[in-house]
Amino acid sequence: MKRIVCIEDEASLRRDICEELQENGYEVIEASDGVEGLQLIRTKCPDLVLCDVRMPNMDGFELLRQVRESSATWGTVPFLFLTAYGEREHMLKGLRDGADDFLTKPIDYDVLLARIETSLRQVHRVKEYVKKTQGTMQKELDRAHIMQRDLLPSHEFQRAIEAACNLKLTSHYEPSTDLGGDIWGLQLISATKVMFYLVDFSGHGIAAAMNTFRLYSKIDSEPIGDLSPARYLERINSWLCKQLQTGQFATVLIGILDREKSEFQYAAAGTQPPIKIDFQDKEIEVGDGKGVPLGVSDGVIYEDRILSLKKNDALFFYSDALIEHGRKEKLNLGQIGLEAMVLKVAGRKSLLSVEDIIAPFLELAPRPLDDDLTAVCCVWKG
Amino acid sequence: MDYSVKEDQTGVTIDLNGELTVSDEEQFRSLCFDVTKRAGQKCVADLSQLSFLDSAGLGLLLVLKEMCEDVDKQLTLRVGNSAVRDILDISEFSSLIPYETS
Repeated sequence: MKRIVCIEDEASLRRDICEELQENGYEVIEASDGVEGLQLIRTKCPDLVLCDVRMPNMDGFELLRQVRESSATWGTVPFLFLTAYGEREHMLKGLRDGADDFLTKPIDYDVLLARIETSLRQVHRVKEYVKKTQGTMQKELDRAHIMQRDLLPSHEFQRAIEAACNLKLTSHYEPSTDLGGDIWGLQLISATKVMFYLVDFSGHGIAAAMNTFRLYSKIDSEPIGDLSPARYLERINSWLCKQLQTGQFATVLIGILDREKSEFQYAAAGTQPPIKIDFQDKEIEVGDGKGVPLGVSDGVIYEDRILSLKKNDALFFYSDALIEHGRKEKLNLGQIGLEAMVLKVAGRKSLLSVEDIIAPFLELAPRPLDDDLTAVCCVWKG
Repeated sequence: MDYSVKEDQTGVTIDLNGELTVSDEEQFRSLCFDVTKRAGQKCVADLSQLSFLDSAGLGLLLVLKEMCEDVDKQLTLRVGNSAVRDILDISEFSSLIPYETS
């Protein structure tokens, strides 16, 4: 079903338009001003926008400008203006600024439906052409996407680790449209120790994705064993320095949850700091992510760091998309916003899943994501 | 990304403005190539007016470093109190490319 966002401040007219569109088989989401409308366009990625010109908070022209300035997919959405009869200047300005069509009020619904169909048909024609010409490439990319997803710990493996170490594990992995460079994983070292890692390769696309396969194989075939996280990072760094081209690198967090010692011992290579959530004292402790990224300079010395844990504490790991995504729309959380978001969760009695932590981000994040998002939460049940 | 290049007897200074990200790769690599052709022993990349740097942008600075080294130029970064300082510090960039001391 095609999705239309209808933005009109006059409630009765908006209701009439929405009913007419719904009766004709469209899914309609409504907004009463430009600010609300922009939020819906970003998050719901509609197939078409129907928009009034004069509105409170943000008028139609400003909304159109912000939509067309975006480099995201929704920046190209077909945009139809509703203008009052006789407002010729409005009509011309809208079309010059990037609107695709206009309709004058009072609305002739037959014409409205025909214009919508025309716009959607044009988009469909272009999409079909692109699909035909890029079809093979897209199929290859889709297959690579699935292979990359298969590198992540399976549902069954996570449940096995949970049972072996008395943990509760949840994760959220949302790839951007392109192939990306995020990967995370787990290794059971002994009945009391489990290793986590989260990696983000520089750049995007196929090159970054290929590097995730390289590193996954290395970690899988040469597990950490008795090494500390820092010594293990040094070993991997040395190997990666020989593999990567100049300008490519990996930011890495790697750590061991040790149930006997009640601690998380970790080492970092230029990554987002791990966060401990303490539900008992309703506070968080932010670790340290500093370190030279892997693959840049052989011989770098890394540091083992500790977050001490008690029963029911949670550990939260995440890739930088969580703090940086939405920057162009000024919606990015930043490190401070992220910590505030996590602290809010610490006020609860316990945690259900990682989605509880990142729900405010997921709700507001413009789609599709421009970078892979990985977030992992591990509650130590004792 | 916008940039300007200044040259004097000691070397060359690149003033970078706006954002240095994955979409600037081609332009930045040709800028690196241009810099290696210039006279002098020093190259300063002025990042103080940069508003954002992503991981690909960090990678491009490492490319510039290597290209400078290949022609015996020494690269330093002018960071100031720029918005990108935190991003550079997380990756301990000062241990890879020295910051200007003045």
